[in-house]
Amino acid sequence: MNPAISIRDLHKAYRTGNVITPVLKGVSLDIAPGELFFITGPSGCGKTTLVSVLCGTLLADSGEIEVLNHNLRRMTESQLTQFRANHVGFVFQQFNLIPSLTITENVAIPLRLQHRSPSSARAAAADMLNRVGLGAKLNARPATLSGGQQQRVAIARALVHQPALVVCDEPTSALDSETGREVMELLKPQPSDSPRTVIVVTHDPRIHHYASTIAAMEDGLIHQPPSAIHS
Amino acid sequence: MTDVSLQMLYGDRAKFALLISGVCFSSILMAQGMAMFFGILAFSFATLDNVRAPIWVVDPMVEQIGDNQPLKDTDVDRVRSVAEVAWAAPFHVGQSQARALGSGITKPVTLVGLDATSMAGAPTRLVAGSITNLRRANAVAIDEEVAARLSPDRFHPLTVGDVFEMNDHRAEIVAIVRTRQGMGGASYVFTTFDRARDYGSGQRKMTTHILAAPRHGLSSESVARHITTATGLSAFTEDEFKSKSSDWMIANSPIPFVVGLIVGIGFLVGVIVAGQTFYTFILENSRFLGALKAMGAGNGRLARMTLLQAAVVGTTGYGIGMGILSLFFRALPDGRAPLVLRWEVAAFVFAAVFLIVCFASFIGIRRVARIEPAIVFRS
Repeated sequence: MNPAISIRDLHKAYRTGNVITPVLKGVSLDIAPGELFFITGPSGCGKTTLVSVLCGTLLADSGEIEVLNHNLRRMTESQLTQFRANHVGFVFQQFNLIPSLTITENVAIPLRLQHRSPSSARAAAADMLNRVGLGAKLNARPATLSGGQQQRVAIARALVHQPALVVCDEPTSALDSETGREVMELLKPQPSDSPRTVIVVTHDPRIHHYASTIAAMEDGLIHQPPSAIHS
Repeated sequence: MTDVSLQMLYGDRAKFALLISGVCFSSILMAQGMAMFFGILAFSFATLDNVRAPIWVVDPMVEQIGDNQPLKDTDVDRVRSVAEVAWAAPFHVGQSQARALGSGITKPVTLVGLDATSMAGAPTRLVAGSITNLRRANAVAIDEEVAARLSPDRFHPLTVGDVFEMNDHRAEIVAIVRTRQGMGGASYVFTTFDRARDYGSGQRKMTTHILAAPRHGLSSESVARHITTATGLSAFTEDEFKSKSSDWMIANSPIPFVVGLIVGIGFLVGVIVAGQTFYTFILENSRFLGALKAMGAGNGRLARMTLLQAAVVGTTGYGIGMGILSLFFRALPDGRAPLVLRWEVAAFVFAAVFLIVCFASFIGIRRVARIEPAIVFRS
């Protein structure tokens, strides 16, 4: 089976004035379809940069990167934008829900970006919010919800357009253990869902047991071969 | 994504209100400056609005309506002798002092002498009395503002039948009229041409203008050209004379500079307030805009969303500003304030607001284009 994500010798450096700071120093990695893949490591090791490159929000300087059979390094900016709209769902550490929209409208955004009509997008969003247990709060604004509820809205928004890849940045760091567990249960690929690969960047050891594979990063490299947790 | 764009704008009520206020205030400043400009221009040719005649004949040296160069008495006959002229009448405009009997209140007035036979140039907006009674001895028609100013109590102005003095001559009011005030603030007193000699300074040549009309079927413009050719005098249609007077005011008075300053300040206020606030609005929303970018909203789509927000701010602020100004102008006494809200003012201000909105959008879009979608992964 082809990997969902295949990376070879990926390099990325940031430039500030004349100072060049290498962040990814030749990362190579394969992620199989349907995996719940965790990337861990200390702050500043390059996790966020790696995940940004993986989902096409940041361009690598060199190396090969193929995601869902798309060679991201050969795509134009508008092709990358289209790629993200069609194939990637995002769960951010800060939720990034637009405060002036209701949670239904927030969840509908990925569908609206795919040019679905407002009414059909809202109906699908309401259905997804029902599935994450927020069916009673469809017209609520994000600010009226708890942190856990907001993260559930963010997950609904990440999944509503059934992307093949979901990228989560510290999805449980701001949540208590019980809420974190609930969030991971929602993110976990379900047999009934369309197959999706989930990449989770986390510091949170409480949720490591959900991973199918864990890659530990250090100093811009995956310093040991990713370890499979479940067969 | 139109609704998302608008809800993001409306959601930040404080910023939205500040943006609208900035554009609204800027529109009011620019529009009132220009309305004042047109108002002052209208004041400068008030005589042309108060005295309606198809053709005005003046001395060739006259540059504008307020320039009262005397004509020879024979010039009236020379104009009458032009074949295309239906009628021509002498006309006098000068200054005088009106003095109320009893109270002794004295006010400057613009004295207008009309041809007693034709009554050509008689005011058309009658409030009380009868203009034809001007043919009676010592008869005058006065503007309602003069009637109020000459009375010790403004709420009980002089009325038809009351008497006052001009140049030590008795003047009996036979009509009250409504006229537009002139530049100097002096209101109008109408009498017959011959009597104006007694009420005025008593100058030897009393004819300051000749009023004329074209024969039936001929245009005022062509007959004015015929009069100029035949007599050597300057002849203008009413519109031409207004235009000439306006051009003179624009070229010779400080009004365009003052008004330009007001309009410029208004424009700057709009640019600074709207531009700065819109930039801050975009800056504070960069996290959400970054999230939208990450989720697949391209620069073009976000630029359209930004443009829509700016357009809504611009049209709403402009609409409210012009609405407030219109209501304020409506509340002013008719023709007393030098403010004229013409469609050209509204169009100019709309164009200026459009530029402000373009500027605000430009800096907003520039900022949006520079937001990296990867920003959303930074805590």
